[in-house]
Amino acid sequence: MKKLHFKFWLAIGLCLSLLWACSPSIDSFESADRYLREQLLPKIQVESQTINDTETYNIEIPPLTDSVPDPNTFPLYGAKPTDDPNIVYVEIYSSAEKANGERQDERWLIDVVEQFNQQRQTLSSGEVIQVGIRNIPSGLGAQILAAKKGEPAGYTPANDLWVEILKAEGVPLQPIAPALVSNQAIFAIQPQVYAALGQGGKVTFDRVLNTILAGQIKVGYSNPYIASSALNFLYTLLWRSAGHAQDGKPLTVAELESPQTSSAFSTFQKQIALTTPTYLDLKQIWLRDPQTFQAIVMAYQSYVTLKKQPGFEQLAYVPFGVPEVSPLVGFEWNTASEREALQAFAKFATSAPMQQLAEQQGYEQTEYLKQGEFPPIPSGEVLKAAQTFWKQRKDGGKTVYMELVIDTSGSMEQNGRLKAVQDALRFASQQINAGNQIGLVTFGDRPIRRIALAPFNMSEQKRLFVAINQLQANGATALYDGVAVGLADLMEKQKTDPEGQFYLLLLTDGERTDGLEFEQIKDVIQHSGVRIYPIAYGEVNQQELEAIAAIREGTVYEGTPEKVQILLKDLFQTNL
Amino acid sequence: MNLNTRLLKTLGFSWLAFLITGLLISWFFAIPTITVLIDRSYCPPDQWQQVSQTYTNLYRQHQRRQLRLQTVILFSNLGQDVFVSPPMPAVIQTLSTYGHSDKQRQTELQKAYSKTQLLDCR
Repeated sequence: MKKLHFKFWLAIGLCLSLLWACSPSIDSFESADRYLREQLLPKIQVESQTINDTETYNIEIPPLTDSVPDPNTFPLYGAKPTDDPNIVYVEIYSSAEKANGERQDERWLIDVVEQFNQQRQTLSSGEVIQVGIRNIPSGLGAQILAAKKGEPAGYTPANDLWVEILKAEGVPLQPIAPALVSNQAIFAIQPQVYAALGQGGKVTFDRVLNTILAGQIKVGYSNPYIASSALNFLYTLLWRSAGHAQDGKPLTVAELESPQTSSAFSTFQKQIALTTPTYLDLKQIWLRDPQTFQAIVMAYQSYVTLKKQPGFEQLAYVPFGVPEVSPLVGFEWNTASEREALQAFAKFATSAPMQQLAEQQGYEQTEYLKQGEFPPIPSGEVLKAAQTFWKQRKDGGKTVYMELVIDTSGSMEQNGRLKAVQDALRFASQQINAGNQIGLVTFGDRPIRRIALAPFNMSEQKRLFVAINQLQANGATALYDGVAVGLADLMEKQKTDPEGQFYLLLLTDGERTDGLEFEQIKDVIQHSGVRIYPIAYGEVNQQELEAIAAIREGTVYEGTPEKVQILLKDLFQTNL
Repeated sequence: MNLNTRLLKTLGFSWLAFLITGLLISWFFAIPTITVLIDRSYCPPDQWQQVSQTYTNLYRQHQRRQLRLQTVILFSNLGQDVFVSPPMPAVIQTLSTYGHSDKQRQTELQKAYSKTQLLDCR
């Protein structure tokens, strides 16, 4: 009996060992690639509808109007526009870090405006002043104003750099208040990195910058067309690289072209772990995994709240650049009443009780701000040239590969979702740097390869336009089949260009209903070397998209037909 | 007894003479010690190869104990890095160069270190 028992368990053990030995383990790029090609792709029926050269040759790219967003799609807080003749209503575009009604630590200006409106202050003419605050990131606000797509009474970006850009764009400004609140741009730095830097003396911006340039720190950075702290850093880096920390002179456009300046920028770009549209994305990724970055560029006030999170209590910072003090400007199109109303509001916002409220939300008068040793404010022309400089050279000689994996299931027909995506892709294609590679895979019942990854140029842009025009919504949602095909193409490219940067943009409006499941492809994503940007474009499985993003330090972006154009433009501008 | 004293004296003086000779040799023929200052401000690649070659020669002398590289310092207008032990020539060869030269920093470094050799591509 005992012998039988022994043989039985031996047989069980052998079977289990065999099973374990036979089940593929995915722990490297090679094993992920093998598993994808041998186990997953054979289960998928992939269609190919690539565009031929004749179709590409024949299409004409229509003139693309600007893709500046409609300001009315951004949230408005405080008072709403009114026809009441006894009320003078003024609307102010405000940078997001102080006008986000959804977050307790980013709503200082909304608290101010609510208290101000309650007071019902009157003008000398007797009209009651009511103020509305529209939350628009500084860079987007400047773009809307420059494109004349909105005519608010006031604009309060995070710093003066955006005001200079508006001046360069010929927008007629009227200064109202030089500063509403105290803030600054900083490097938030992991405590162990800060401690190591501190061994050589005081940790200054110079020391941090030098350590980054020496290749010892990887940083998270954001898009200087949108984020104030990113534009501030870009300017500071270029200004210092041009040797002006020594002579104090402002940066010039000509200096951007000098090898001394561009070489410093290229060296810095090699140390970028990830670039996102705004630093809030970096913050979310950091909160999920504190080891992702050793430092990120952000605003001080946001750092104060980040320090309150578990695991970030010891986070250190180093300030840099021009102060982020939220200037308030009006416009020449304002009436005398509107101008007087803005001045009354600025006076209220800078009053002692409102400044105390600001301090409670992290807006502190730091030593850096008190010392007042800042780079000079450059001209708007220099800043615009610096943004272009960033866009042209941000890839640091590496090729960026992006596979667009787009949901064309039947539900994309609803509310003009697919049409909005088609328009958005056309506009966003203008942001792709020549030489970077873009591919297009769509999925309904099954995935369809439409554009193969190839160096982007005028011909490839035309090919992309033809493919976009051909998209039609129908079928189920074989979401992970689409992802598998996109990953396979990117991983194939990675074998020949391991130094490239690989992204997969996954836009879906629903849950997976067909084909592979998330669990089947999860390990492949993890070892693929591809960063996935999921865009939640409707009734999606948010948890699953979050899980996809989290595998490779990504973040989920929310898209709507109204906002998908600006979202894709930002993502293309930032990554391509 | 007398013989022992003599022997000890002879031995003592011999050792002393040996020691003094050794000290004199080490003093007269000492290995020169230098601090290498490398200006890493922007330098076109072909010119940087010359800088790199000069450093390689110094490094070889250091290995052959003909020269002692006490410290190697890289500097530009954007900062400085101090190597307490000399880096391998390959490190210098593949180094990124960026920014402007900083004469003020160079002078300060030359003052701070007694014997320096400057490597730059100008």
